[in-house]
Amino acid sequence: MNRKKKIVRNIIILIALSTLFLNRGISLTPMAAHEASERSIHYGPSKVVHIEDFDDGKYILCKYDKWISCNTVKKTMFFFWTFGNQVTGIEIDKGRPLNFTWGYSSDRNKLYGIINDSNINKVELYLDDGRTLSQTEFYDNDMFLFTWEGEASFDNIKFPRKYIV
Amino acid sequence: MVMTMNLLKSDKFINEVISYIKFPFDREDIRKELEDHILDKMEYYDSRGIDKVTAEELTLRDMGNPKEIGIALNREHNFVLGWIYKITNALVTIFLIITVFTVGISLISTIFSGNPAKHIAKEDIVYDIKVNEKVKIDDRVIKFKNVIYEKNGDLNIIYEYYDTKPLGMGWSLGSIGTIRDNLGNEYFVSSGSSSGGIVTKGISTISNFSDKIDTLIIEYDMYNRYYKVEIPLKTGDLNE
Repeated sequence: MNRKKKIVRNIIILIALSTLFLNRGISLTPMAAHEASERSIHYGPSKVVHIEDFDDGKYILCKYDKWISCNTVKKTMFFFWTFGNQVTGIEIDKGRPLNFTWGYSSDRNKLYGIINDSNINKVELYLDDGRTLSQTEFYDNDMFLFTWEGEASFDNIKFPRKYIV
Repeated sequence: MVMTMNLLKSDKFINEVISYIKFPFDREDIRKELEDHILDKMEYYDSRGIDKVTAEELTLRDMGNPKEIGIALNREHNFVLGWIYKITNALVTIFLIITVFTVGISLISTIFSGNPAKHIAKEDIVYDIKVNEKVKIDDRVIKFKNVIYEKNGDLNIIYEYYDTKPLGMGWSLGSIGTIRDNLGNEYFVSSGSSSGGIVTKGISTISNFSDKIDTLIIEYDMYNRYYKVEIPLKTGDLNE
């Protein structure tokens, strides 16, 4: 077998093994990892409204039917992507002005939610180390995401409403 | 070996040819090939009674210009193709090791996971119903295998699941669903376990389950996925 044929043989083996590999929780892109993660846990497919990077991965803020979620995906083996955590989210309760949930993993914190009361034009997050995070521009017009690193926990969340004449 | 016979001209000839070969991993093979070729030729001249020094000179004359041979061989042993071959070979090896390792772990887990109800002593079993109900959500097939009722009131649901994608892997099944009876009572799973592997075997146990219940209902209704399995129980047999 000459070298060209051996290269073709190797490429065929690599494609076959990659297919097997990519079927085992490893993806070529963050979105593929996110979609596989959702399907594997029997959730979604959700609509992605915002993506935010962290050191070795991404937060993916989503809406799905009556739920919201913020999945994470992580880099693995240099250029592949794999499942993160907290794939599913919370059910939207339209009876409340705002719904949110909070979680952390590996010293990374996230707090995300959805605004049900259109008069809310700002969400402020107070951490117990004195920091305040705020958001006024919302993803898909009604979703917000706060991320921070470290041990600080969230202390309070405030959402002043617009002044209505 | 001719080259060990201090044939300096042949060595020089081969070194010159080799100097044109850009792909380093082929140089040794080419050297051996040239050595064999020179040896064959010299043996031919030797068989015709020509002395070794003359035989070497004649052989090298027959071989041709080392520069031309080197350039031709370099073209044959293409530098780019050589590296592509080496890299793809290394990748195939790495992928094979990872695949054997990961698939091997899954296979071993599947083979040695055993029966999740093996801890239940036969003398404690009131009834063991073969269920054989199969449901599917997304790429996961769940098979309910047995329902085992124990004298202490524990009801065990034995199930297994697998991914329809070949050797697929993902999140494990969080819950088999809400467990109710035909009277509308809802039960919490007091304990449960599941193995890993290609086929995951699991058991969910409900404590203090009444022996008067004649139908067990397992209903999964989460995130727009739904299945319902109704399993008739053996109430009448208990007092026999």
